[in-house]
Amino acid sequence: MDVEPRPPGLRPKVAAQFGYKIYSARYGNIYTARQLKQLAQEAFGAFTPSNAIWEKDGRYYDALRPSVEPTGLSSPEVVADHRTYHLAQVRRLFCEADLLIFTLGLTETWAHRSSGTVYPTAPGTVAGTYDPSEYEFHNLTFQEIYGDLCEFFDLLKSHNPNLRLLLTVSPVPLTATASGEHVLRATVYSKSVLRAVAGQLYQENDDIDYFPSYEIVTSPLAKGAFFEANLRSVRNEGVEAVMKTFFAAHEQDGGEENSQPHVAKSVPLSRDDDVICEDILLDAFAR
Amino acid sequence: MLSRANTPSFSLNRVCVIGDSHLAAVKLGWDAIRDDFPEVELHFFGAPADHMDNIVVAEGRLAAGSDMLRKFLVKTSGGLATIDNAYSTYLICGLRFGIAKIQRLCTEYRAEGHIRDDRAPISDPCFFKCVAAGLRDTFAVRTFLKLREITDAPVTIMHMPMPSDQDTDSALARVSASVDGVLIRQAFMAASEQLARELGFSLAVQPQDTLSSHLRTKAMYALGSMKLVHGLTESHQSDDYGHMNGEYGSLVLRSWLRSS
Repeated sequence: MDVEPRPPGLRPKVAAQFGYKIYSARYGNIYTARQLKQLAQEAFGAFTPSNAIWEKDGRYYDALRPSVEPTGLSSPEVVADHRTYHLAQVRRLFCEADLLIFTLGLTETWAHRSSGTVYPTAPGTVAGTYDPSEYEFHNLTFQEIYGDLCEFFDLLKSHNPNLRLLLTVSPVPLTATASGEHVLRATVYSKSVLRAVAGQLYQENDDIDYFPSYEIVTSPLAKGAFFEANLRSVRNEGVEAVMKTFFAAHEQDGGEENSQPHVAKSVPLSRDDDVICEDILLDAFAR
Repeated sequence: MLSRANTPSFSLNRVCVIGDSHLAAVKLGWDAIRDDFPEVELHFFGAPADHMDNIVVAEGRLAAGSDMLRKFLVKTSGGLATIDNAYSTYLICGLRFGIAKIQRLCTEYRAEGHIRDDRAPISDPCFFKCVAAGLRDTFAVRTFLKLREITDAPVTIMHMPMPSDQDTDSALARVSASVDGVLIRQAFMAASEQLARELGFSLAVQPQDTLSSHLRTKAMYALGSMKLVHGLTESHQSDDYGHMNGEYGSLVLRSWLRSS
């Protein structure tokens, strides 16, 4: 499903810069289970985010998806208008989808101290201002992520009882960590917790499945061949191996070979310049 | 007064006019005013836009890439099947370069300053990129790029006329009648001019006095518009709001010739 389709005329690469044709809606990257739960709660009117509009150089950004407008919008009112529309489309998506695929990406997040609102990027990076008295770093635990996903899925099931959930874990290692740990330790912690939560939910729920894209890409069997030279970005061959395995596994469930998307040939997912990721934005700001 | 993105003064002795169905108005207009420009020769090459996109570069000329296009070129030019580089200037008419190209964008999406209705909201930068990309992806621009392979002579793109204001029912007509009309026109003109500067062509803009509003042509200029494919002998249906008549053609052509 694509509930916020690319406007006519916009070329694919430019469309991606505006958050189109990446996911089923223009929510940008959802890194954490808490961010996902928060989006669903907001879409169904059960949550109002705090400090949801950030400013930079006279332009205004949706703090919950700052990457979808590269140069921001003209006023806070326009940001709010766009978000209202976006949430209506997300609500429709959650109510009409048969299957939701969610890739668990991070445990680390930045939160608004008093309200608990979490953001995909640290305030003050893409936009906004970092005030340590207002925002804090938080590294989500197993229990928190497990709880967030349970709450999220319960909420969606109350609106869409037949919905099923497919979980995967991102094989992309952390570029940096705010935890104070070495980034290697932080990565292993993050991936271990996310993988454990996914496994727990899979074991406990008939309508939650787990697909091992993380294992396919990172396994010693792959000998690191699925990573680019930066040892972070996944090569096209890795994406193709994952998708081939996925469709092979689901063909018996009625999948048709001809309907399989040819990911590696048409979408160069693994090249840094084509991946829409806040990390890339942060890299740019760091230069 | 014709406005143009860049305004080099160039010789108009031999003008090659390439276009689609909108060429009919220009041809009829030329027939009406040619005596006022005795030093100018206009040579017409026309075909429906879909066919004109089959034009190819071959041996330093533009040639038909299909039998059907060849027939159209021969018929409209009076016997010539190819376009050479011997003309002093080239005028491209229509070929989808117009507001119709962004009709879906304008009726399904709204930019920041547009009326807040049930269209999908998009940012002004995104809206502008869509307009510019839509205009770039036209047969007119593709034809221009092919011309550039055979000649450095000046090229002007004359955009399609705005639709007649007799159209009051279409989605675009409703948008045009609202305050969005002025913003859409601004985006259309800015994107057209940016494209002209970037690629190096001139832009012939519809004369102001033929417009009844920002995106509408006065109905009188659509009355009796003729079809190109039937040898300028058969008129369009009365519910055709996109094509203009010879009177319009003479106005837009005279404006362009005088400003060049």
